[in-house]
Amino acid sequence: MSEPTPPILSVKGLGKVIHGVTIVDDVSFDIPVGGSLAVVGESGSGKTTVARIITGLTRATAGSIALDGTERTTPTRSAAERRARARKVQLVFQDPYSSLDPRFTASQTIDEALRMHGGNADRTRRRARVREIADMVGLSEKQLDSRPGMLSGGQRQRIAIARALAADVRLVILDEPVAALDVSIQAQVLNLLDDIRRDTGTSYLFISHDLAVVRQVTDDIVVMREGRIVESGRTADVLEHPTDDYTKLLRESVPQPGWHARRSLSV
Amino acid sequence: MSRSSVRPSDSPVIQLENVAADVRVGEQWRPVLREVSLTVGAGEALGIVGESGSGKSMTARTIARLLPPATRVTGTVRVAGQDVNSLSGKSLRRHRSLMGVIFQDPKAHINPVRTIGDFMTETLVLVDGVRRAEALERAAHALGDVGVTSPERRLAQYPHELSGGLLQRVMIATVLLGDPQVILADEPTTALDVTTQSEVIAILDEMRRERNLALVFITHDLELASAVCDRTAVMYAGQVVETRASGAIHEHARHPYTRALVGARPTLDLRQRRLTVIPGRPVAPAEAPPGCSFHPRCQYAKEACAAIEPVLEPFDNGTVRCIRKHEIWEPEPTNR
Repeated sequence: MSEPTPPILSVKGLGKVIHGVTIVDDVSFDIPVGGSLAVVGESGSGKTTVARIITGLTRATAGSIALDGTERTTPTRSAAERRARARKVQLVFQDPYSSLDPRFTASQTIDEALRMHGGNADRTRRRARVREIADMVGLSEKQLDSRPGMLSGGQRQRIAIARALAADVRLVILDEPVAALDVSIQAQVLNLLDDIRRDTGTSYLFISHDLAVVRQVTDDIVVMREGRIVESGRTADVLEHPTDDYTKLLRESVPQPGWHARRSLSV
Repeated sequence: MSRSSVRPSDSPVIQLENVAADVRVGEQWRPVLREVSLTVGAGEALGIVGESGSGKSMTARTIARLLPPATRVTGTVRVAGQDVNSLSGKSLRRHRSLMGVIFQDPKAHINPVRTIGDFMTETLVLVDGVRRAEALERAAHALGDVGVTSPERRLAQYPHELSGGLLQRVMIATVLLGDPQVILADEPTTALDVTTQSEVIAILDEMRRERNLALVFITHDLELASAVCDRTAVMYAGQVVETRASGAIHEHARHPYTRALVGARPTLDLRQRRLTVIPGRPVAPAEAPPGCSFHPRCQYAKEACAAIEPVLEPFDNGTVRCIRKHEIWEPEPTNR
């Protein structure tokens, strides 16, 4: 491709060592603008640590990260700079029950993010923007005035997504965003994520253990095991024709019609 | 694994007939199960699939009689010919000894300050009066059966030293030590990684075939249920809405809810242009509307669906709770 646009996120040689234990080892990938990259792996693969490094929640011990052309490997020097970074990357967590302030209504939650990141828009403008975002994620007027305690898991996850979009976000990191949701609600949220990406050009870094979900919402994939990338490529190619043994094992472990559980190893 | 070795006997090990359960909340009785009828034979595996509030866990608890306080159960629950609701004291303990229960989170059910050996042999030593040395020997053997290497070393370890997958194997081995006739597994692999899940499932499957156990497998994952079980029952708002041979549930589901669930799950082989969406959210039995509980979310719903309460009826090689089934589906000839 002769696309001249630089990637929204470029990660090179990322490493993280804690107390002499290597958690992340030489991880590199790019996410193109408007792209969606899956990071899959099992517990201990380092996938969540990678996300934490990118958001600045923890520091890498090696490698570099460039977001939207700006180096962000070193820690920020001021609150303003930190906020400027946060504006571009937002996180949506797995558990919609613990990631929202229980005292805030949905519209207050979204409004807070707007006040933090949306420049100095006045109250009327912010209110209009809250409506706009709520429309985008499918929250009704009534739900906007509700506190999280009165809403279901899927509705809460919509608030979390709305909050992420309120900032002028370029990249959303989604850490198992549908794992805690009922199947019928999962589908609603996955379709929503697809719509948002198409309509706004927001890029995703999608962390998941669920290969079927990944197939549905990502273009590219990296498979991680014990801190390293074992395979990467287009999601469809990797899932259809995995070349790495571990990717194959992951693929075969997914129950589907005609599947037989295998007892491959003793522990 | 040969599937031919399984031959369910004539009289089912587990039999639920018109079971309803209500839990008291303050002054009110709140329904959690409504007219649930199911059977499971020896050596048979039944999957119970549902979303939050569907009553799938409550069904398992009713079978084991591990009910929350202030629960009222009506209808008949029979296990190995015994009426479970009338048991008390010694007979209830005997009933529970027929039953192996495996939960989602083994960490929450294994005493963290005792060794694995203590945990596994507790019942054998304290209830059955087996000598400790012999009990430990049996425990080691049981661990070997579920593929745990160097079992003696494991017996001396504490739960926090073991991974989730290993702990779930300990759980299964412990349950098998009690020589049960029934295994109730409530989301046993939900907290595990996929490769570990596949191992644990394989062990469960092997054990029920070898020992001719009746397995009730509770999960939110339709694919997993149909991979593990001979038959699958789908629950919604405290009721069974469809039962069907697991092999047929993907292609030949006949309840609109089951169809919608199948369509809502993304698949590995194909990126769908759009996932089928079931509007709204799953409802608890207490908030279920009159008529068919699913009708407000159902794409086939007609006026009558809000008025007539459907019953679970045989239909197209399974059972379906839907008044419009004949209009929606042309039944297929029985010998497919």
